[in-house]
Amino acid sequence: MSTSLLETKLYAPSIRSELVSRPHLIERLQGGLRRGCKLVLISAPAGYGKTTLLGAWVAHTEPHRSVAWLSLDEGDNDPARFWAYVAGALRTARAEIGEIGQMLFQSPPPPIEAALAGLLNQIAEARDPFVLVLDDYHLIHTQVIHEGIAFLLENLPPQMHLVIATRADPPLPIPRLRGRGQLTELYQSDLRFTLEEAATFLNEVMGLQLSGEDVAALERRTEGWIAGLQMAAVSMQRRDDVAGFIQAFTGTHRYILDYLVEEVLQQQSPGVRRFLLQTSILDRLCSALCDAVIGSDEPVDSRSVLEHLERNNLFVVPLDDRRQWYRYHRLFADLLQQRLWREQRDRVPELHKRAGEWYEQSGMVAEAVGHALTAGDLERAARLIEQTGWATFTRGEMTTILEWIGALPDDFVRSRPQLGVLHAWAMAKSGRLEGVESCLEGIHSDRLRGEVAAVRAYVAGVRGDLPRAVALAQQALEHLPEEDLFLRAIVTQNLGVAYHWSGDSAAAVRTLSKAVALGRAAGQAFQTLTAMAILGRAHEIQGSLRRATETYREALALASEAGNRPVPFAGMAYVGLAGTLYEWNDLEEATRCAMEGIRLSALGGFVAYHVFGHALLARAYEARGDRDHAIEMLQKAEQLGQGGRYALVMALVAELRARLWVAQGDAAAALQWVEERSLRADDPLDAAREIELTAVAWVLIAQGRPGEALGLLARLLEAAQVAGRTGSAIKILALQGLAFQAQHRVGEALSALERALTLAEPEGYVRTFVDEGEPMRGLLSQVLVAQQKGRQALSRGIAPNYVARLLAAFGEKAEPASPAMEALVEPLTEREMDVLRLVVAGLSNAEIAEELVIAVSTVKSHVNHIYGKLGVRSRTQAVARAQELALL
Amino acid sequence: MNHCEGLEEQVVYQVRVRGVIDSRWSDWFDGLSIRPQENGDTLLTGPVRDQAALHGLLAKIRDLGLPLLSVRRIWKDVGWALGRELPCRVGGARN
Repeated sequence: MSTSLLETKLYAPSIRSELVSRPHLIERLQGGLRRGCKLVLISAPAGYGKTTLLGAWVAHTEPHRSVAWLSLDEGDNDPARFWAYVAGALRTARAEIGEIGQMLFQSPPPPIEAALAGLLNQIAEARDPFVLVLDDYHLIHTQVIHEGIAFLLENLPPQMHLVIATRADPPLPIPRLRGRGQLTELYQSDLRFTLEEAATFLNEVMGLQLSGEDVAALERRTEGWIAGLQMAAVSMQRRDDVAGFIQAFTGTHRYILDYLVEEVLQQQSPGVRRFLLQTSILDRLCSALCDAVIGSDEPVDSRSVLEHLERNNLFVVPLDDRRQWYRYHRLFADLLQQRLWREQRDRVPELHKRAGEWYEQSGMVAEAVGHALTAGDLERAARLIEQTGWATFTRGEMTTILEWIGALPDDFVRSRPQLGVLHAWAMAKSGRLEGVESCLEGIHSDRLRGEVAAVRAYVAGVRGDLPRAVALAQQALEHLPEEDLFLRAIVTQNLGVAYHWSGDSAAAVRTLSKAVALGRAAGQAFQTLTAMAILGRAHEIQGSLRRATETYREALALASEAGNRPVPFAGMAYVGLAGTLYEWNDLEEATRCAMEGIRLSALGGFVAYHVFGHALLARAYEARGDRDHAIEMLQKAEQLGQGGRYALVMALVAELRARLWVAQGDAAAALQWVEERSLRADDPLDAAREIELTAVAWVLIAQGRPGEALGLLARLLEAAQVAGRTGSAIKILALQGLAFQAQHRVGEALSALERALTLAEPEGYVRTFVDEGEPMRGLLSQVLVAQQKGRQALSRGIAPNYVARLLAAFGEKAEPASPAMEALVEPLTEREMDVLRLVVAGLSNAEIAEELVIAVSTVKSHVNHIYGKLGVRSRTQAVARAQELALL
Repeated sequence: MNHCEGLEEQVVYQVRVRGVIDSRWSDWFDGLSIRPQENGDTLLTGPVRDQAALHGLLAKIRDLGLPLLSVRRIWKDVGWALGRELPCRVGGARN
């Protein structure tokens, strides 16, 4: 079983026992963790033993605390790749950390904070402390990643610590962390070998027998630079005339490493020397790859050379336990490469070409691309990019694709239309919409017509040009090959969403159902689930509550298929379910689903659902008469939804806000909102506008302007009926009833209401009526009376029990069965529950810290959060409240 | 296009590092002139395309573990820095 390249990045270096141990430095690192430092920063130039020190420290710390290790590469400057690797590393310490790539792949992609918040929430649920090590952080230069790490540091859960090893001070808020005592720092002055350590290294580890003077001379010359001392030692091991070496070495100004590496190279056999120079172009080495690069003219036994190098502590670092993969210590890679350039410049492209071929034949296409590009082997590079491009795209690694294609000459790219399409998609998904058209310029191939239309459709959708998005998506579907399931699924879904937003719910239902089927056929669970969640909403708008609920439940089943724990994207289905359950007046279940939906959406970074979940919770609290909590949830929803493009959800939130203003008697605010909203009465009536304008009508009625409301409602009703939006029609008709009632036009009021009831009864609508309070109750009573007296032709059409049930629902003072659900606005995390149990058991903070193996400061932090959530100020109160709520 | 005008616009940097490296390193540093100094420093001098190229150069120096001592911009002394006569006078007398 061979090591994957991913594994080599996650491999914490093993420690060779012969190296110099540095207990004082280890103790500083340990001390930092004990003090609860968020960040350990090791910033020193190459060759000061940073990685070695961390490796030794990992071995020291591992039994008590898990360590997740990530060795960074130049290629990790692609944010999608970077965070995917971070999540992968975290998963070695905590198996429950989920896939982050999917979060970033949503359309539109969430702000990085949302996805990271999701990751952090997942980490916070882990019990035991652990450490994330990022090695070679200086290779990262992408601003967005730095911002992400800063965000991570600001919100780091108490049980996690971050270690960064770098050659340059990173652009992170270091002074702030230092000021708060949350930083442990090690620099060149700490890491350099002291005279003692140099002596130990040279004489005991390397087996030389140098006098104190000699050691001092070498220490002076190298200034404690470990790499320098190491090379000097290696050189001296092979020499008889050690004194001569020291004299020459200390007597020259020559750049140490250049001098020493040349010395050491001269001491190697010609075969080894050739090996070192020619393989210096590789990021990673395994014997087969080295053999391929060196070629068959003058072959070298790479396997034994690698073993020789490792044994002699020369240049290479193992990347796994199986001794399959190695890499050069970067310091030496550069020096060796420079020599290669000097001596065999014209052979370099050929070496890269061979490396590219080997990687391609071994099925590692992404690695092959880099070498092909460097070799100037454009044909191969283009072919490989086309081959691996789509997979790279689905992982969200747009930056990588853009870099690859950017390295190819423009006219070359133009001659390969498939690259052009891939380029266009990468541009579009990275938000560089203006660049898309020039990528597609000149692509007239029939074969690609579907793909070209597909990316244009996506761009139109993002720009909000719904008619164009619909037209292009339809065109794309006409031309895309049947077998291209994944792309067809995406385009179909985008089309369905466009219909949904523009208010054509019948088309939305049809199209999204197809998208679901395609997603399943393509084996894309995440994409299928998003389609199902929106399909459910489309059913709701059409008035099919039962089918909506079925869809949500199906989605939940799909989401749980992977394992026992619900995955984050189940959050979308839970929120949807909360909506229909609320309508059916099952407030307890609706609240439970909303809370679970919120929790999972937060984990997954699904902002729209996170917001919607809060809005639903707000409605549920309001329905129970808990105004305060309702407002709190509403404010949260508004805050979370700021700055995003979630027009539909924000319309629902705005509606709720308007209702609460009126309920609180803040007429002015409500009316001002109405002014703003109705000014644009000529706007096309899409789904979001319909919600807003319906809310406007509601406010007008509540504020004693039923005449105006009726005008608006008539327009809305017609539009809804034409488009088959029965769900909306029910709400509108109910409002019409109230408006007529306010004008004392009882007959018309009853008539409107009965029409609403006829449509609503088969699907069991309840809250739409109950939420309207007294005026609606009055009207319904009249309907009931009319039914009982056999009057009004229409009344006979409505099942008699229905109206009675509705009236009964008004009377209920919704008693939640579980007091805990009502009282706890924000549920306690698992960790907080652990701490609370121990608090109730009577343990002090220090005892709890010992019991759970965490810092006392961490315990205090948890306790404060618990007080906040329980609404108490002391331990005694907390215990009482916990018992009251039957939390434990 | 006037050849001299192009040169006048190029920005020349001079970087000083500690440790002597020889002229064979010139290729690795994109053709900069390498001049060891008597005190054990080395001067790397030459035109640098822009800020990004400058940072790339500094990163190369960093990654070799060569201690960086100073970075100067000396665009007026183009002819001297490149060690050769220009075919025409650049903007009159040299400062």
